Amino acid sequence: MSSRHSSRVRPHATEDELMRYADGEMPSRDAERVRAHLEACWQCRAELDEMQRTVGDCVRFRNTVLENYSPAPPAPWCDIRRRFEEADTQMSQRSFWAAAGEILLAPARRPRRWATAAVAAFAVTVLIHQLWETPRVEAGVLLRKAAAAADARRSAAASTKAPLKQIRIRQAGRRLTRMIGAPSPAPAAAPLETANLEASLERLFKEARYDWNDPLSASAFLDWHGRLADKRDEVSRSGSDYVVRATTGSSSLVEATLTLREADLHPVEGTFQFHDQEKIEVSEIPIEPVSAAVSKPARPESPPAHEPGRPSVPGGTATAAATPAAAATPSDEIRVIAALHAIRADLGDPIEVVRSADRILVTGIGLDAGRQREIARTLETMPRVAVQFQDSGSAELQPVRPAGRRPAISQEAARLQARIEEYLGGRPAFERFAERLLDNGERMMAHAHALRRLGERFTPAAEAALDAAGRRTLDDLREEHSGAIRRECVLIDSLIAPALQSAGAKAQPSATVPNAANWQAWAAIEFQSARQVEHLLTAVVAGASLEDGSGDAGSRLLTALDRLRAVGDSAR
Amino acid sequence: MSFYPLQEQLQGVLRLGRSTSTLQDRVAAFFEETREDVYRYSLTLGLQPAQAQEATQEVFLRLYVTLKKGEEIQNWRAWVFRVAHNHGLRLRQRQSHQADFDPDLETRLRDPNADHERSMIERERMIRLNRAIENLSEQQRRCLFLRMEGLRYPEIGAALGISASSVGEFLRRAIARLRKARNEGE
Repeated sequence: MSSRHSSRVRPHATEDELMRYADGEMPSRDAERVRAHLEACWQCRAELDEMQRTVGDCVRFRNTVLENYSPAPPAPWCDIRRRFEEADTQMSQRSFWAAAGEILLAPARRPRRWATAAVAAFAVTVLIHQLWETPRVEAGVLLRKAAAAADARRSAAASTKAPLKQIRIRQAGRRLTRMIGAPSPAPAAAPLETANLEASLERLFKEARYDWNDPLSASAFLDWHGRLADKRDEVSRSGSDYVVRATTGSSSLVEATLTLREADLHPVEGTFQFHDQEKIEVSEIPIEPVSAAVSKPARPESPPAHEPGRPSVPGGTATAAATPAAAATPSDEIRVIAALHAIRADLGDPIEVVRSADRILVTGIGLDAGRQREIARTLETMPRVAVQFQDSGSAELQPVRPAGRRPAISQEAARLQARIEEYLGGRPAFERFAERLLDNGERMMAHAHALRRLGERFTPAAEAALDAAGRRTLDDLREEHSGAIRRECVLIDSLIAPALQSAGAKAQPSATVPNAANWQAWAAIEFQSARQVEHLLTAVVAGASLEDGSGDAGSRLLTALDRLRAVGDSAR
Repeated sequence: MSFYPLQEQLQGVLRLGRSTSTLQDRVAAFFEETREDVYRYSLTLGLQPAQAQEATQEVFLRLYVTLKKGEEIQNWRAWVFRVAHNHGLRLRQRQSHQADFDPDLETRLRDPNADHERSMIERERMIRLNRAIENLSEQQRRCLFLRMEGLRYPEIGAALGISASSVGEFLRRAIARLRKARNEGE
């Protein structure tokens, strides 16, 4: 790599930056920075071109393949204006009813003027009432039928209790899962965030006198509906399902809908709009063994799983009593790892993921409360997952973060640093340079550790046991880590190579890259190579002594960087 | 209450009638220009064609009702795709099985009689791309298809319930994988 001026070398744009830049999703200052870099950097421009060509393929795919080869709509498109007219009719019936109400009240105030109009108005009112009454009768009829059907199902099951079902409740991006028909869980068994959400929702429903025990039931809806002083009903279809909507001004619950399956009038979905609140959506989901993080009935002696700072007893996490525990599979495990990766919790956080026969146990040590909540929230709805947090006083888990950065400097390292300082233009510039490089090195190692753990955890046999989605997730993750290692390697090289070359360092031809049988073996090789880079980097910029005592850390670092790149290329 | 408010109310209803037809015209025109895109997107969710068509019509009806009630929607296109996505997922959940996105697409792509104009090389490229898209993760596919429909990152995030930065990450990974598939074929 040719040397450059001593002014700080601008690093290459990352793939993420290029993607956002191309899509116009960057703040203008960052976009200007990238644009300026692209003007100067052929490498990044070529990278962007490649990306754009792929985007072009996608556009062609949409415009040609999807347009021409997707199955055509099986029926002619409906006359959408007719549907608009029908919707208008339904909505205007409500307006006429309000107007009719005014007409009926007027005679009490001006009896003479209204005497002759009263007869005509009465006829209109009767007509409106008939039209108005029809949807209310239908709504009421449907709901009563649905409630009767639910009763019949209970009788058939020889039970007096609501049948077991699982519902998901969502509000403003938050969600929780409840098991209906099972004993209520001990509040302390749920994470704090989930417990708070559940408590606040319960308060809302109770204030509106809507049965919180089984909100997705026709009987709960009927019960609430029957108490309303004023209400407007609407019945519509969503596909083949019935949607009953009720709006009212006489409750804190101003609008509720219930979607009933056509075949058996079983409620499958509901929405609840409370005054001054985000809409709440409730839907039935297939029953799965619920994680300990959510409404599982807990053994009374079980300690809370997520309370920050309190140690958890291993094995003390609550387990589902109401449903039989299914085996925890490798696919469950990879999904947990992917979920943790989405919040970057697998890159240096002191977290361990262990799969046992019936669950995936995620343990974290020394994490702050906010991070604990974030992790708990991420995993709360995943089946067969238990989460435990411990204070950092516990020595059960080894922290993943590397040790301190600045060991005592060797003479050799001091000489090299002095030459780099001169190249960069002074000590302050060198300090910033060193911090930057060590950050890159740390990020690279976080990914290298994560990749190695994936390789160790998902041996070829375990990988074969994954379902198709699990394999795709695993591929995504290892590509992500491998790509990140390469990116950091390229960044480190672009930053340090000119400085080292100015100090006389030169990359040596590296030994042949070994051949590996599978990606798991490559992951181990990549980890070793990355560790070598990080070790030498620390020696160069932080003055750490090399274990073998041999000099020319600069040349060895350049060689190690080349080798790491070669290993990454061979592994793809 | 005097008689006159009723007259005014009737005039209001007439005015409403005129403005309603304008809104109907606009939404109907939007339906005609966008329905195929929404229909195809619904197919990518795994809905059967009949379901996808009904879901598409339902989405535009909801758009009309929402606008009629006075709610402001700045970006109609983003709104319909968001609603189509959520509605489609709900319908798909109730299916007894999850259909793959068009398992016969590749067969139709391979049929040289189906499209003489497209060269074999281009067809093969699209087949590779189709396979690569099938192998993306669900989130990557969702982000990709919605981005193909012109939604911006925050709009995609609103539809999928994820952050805009996550959208960027999923798209980056999707493009990286598709690019790899593309380069492997050349």
